[in-house]
Amino acid sequence: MKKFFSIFLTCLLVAAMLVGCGATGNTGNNSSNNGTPSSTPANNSGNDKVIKIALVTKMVDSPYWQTVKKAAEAKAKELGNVEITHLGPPTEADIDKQVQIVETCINDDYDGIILAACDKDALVEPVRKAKEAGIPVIMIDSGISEPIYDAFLATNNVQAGAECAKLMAELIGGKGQVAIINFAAGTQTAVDRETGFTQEIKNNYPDIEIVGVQYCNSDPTVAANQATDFISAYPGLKGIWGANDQSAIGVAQAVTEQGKTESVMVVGFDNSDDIKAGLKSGTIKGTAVQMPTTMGAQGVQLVVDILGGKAPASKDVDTGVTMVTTENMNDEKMQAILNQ
Amino acid sequence: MMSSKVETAKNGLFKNRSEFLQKFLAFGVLIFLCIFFGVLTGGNFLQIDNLLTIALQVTPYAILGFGLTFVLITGGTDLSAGSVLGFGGIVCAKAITLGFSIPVAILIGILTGVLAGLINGLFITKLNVTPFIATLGTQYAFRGLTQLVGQGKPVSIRALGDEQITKVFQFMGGGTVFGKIPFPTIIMLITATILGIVLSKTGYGRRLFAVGSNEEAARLSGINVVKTKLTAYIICGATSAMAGILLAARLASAQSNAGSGYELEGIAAAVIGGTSVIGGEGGILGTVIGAFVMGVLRNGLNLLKVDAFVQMVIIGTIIVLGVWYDTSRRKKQAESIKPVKNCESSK
Repeated sequence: MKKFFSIFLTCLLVAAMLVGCGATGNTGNNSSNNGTPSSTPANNSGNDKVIKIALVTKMVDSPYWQTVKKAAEAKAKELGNVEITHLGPPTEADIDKQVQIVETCINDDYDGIILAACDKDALVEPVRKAKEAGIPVIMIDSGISEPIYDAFLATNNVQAGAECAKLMAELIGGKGQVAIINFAAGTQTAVDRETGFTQEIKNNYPDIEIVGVQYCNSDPTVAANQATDFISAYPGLKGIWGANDQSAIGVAQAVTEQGKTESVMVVGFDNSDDIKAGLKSGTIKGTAVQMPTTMGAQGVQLVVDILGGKAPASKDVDTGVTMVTTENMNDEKMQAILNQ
Repeated sequence: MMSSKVETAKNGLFKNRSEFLQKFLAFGVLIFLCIFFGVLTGGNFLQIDNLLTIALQVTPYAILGFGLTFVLITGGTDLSAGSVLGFGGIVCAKAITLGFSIPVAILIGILTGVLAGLINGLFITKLNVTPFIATLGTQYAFRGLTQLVGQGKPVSIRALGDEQITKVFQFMGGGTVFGKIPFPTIIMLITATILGIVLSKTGYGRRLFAVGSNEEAARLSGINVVKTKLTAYIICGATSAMAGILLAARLASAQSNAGSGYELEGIAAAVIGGTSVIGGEGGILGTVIGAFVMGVLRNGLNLLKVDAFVQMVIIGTIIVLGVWYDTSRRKKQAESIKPVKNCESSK
């Protein structure tokens, strides 16, 4: 929130400066991105030409992307002079279609593109073309393999893993044995989350022992079997972390079947219907929820900033996770996050 | 010679000494593993709770393996079994969320599997596509359909908010009866008994072995090869869907990626249990044993706290050893009946 505010304020300042000194937007911050298409400065007072932003997601009609879209539109309304068009292929697998969509956006003179890439390699060329045409490109959720974009807004999974570790430590009182059910071996997201979790435990909780890691290939049944075996192998086990939606559901199932909901703490990840049901029944004690709303809103803000001549402070922006727990889940704010 | 081979296929339980050996070997391995893990875990492994946990864990793989045993006996394979598992499970869950009663939803789920099996069978028998390729293709297609039904997300019964339905459905997938015996395991044993009888005691079972041993000979002796094979794929589709429904029931949620890679678990269970990947040999009892060998290995290694990656190496090695034993035995057998082999290769 703080970051968000400071960016917003800076943006206001920059805008005021631009309005004040004409077109000399040369603050110390200027980046390589100097191809603003027209003389449209970002002007939050909303009297100037409307800024057209294309929000290109991996799909259009999934709840997740609808959430991103709603957040982007809310931000656009707040800024006043921004118009969002939501585009995307029918499914995540239609990589070619997404490439075409981005290419069409370039010709349709959008002022900026917010993109969640269906494929990290296939979208490199379209992004390059957009950049060459002077259109700022903000990546959200899923990036591309070459850092030619202006900024990449996504969950920092190392940090998210560490947040899960903190909650787990709190739940088990800072000591005891915990196990990890990760969803894949060797996938970057999974590796990052696991690293974050284990590092946090190692650095800050010397009395907690991680007894093992199993990989369930995002298969809740496999996760349930592995969790059951962990419970059998370590009778004193205090907690199990499921590193994604399916892992957590499987772990919760195992803990329920073994009648250990009160002695083995389950921490999960994401906010699917099943996770929410687990939180409600208390089998899952807490979950890390990613923030697509932040991605949508901040994406719009960054495009406007860049058009105003202000480069993002850092190319990789962590949109963070929010830990929703059985204790705080009924707060209005947490409900909004859980149901986003 | 050929007819004598068909003849030997008549007794589905133990056709000959070598198959008896393989069954005995698989069973011996299972007992050995149980004792081995029992000793190393200081008796923890052999606790009744843990053994029942294993029974629950192997159930879906075993049920999937039954259908695959039928298909493997015909000399075919079904790589789409895992996708059909997911498809059947998600269709059943979707039906429940649409308001169908649980029994009707289960029936719809199983019919989905039957239909999927029929499609596989038609590709293979009528269009003459190699089973490996045909079912590789349908593996993608059925997974795609599964994702379409779920819109890429799980179909959650819990999200319905109806406690009663959730409870009943979950009982089917993970509930216990007679004390602590998992309900799905009982379903598995009933299915095993029925399919075991079909395979070893009925005319259909005999025809299946005949087709798998020598398709040409079976055709010449008046067996309807197309119908026999088609039925095998339909049975495989039905058992796959059944496994999928049980998995969805256990979690009260059908995952759109459920069953990915399970076909290989099922094939491994069948092969370890003595079903030949080249066809003509196999049995349901063996598949049950094979599934338990895999399950015992996983559970035992977990209890021994063996690293996840080392476990993969160990389990992989055991599957290869199982298949190697099977092929080397087949080869010896083939050498002892050379004329048949020549005849087969000249067709």
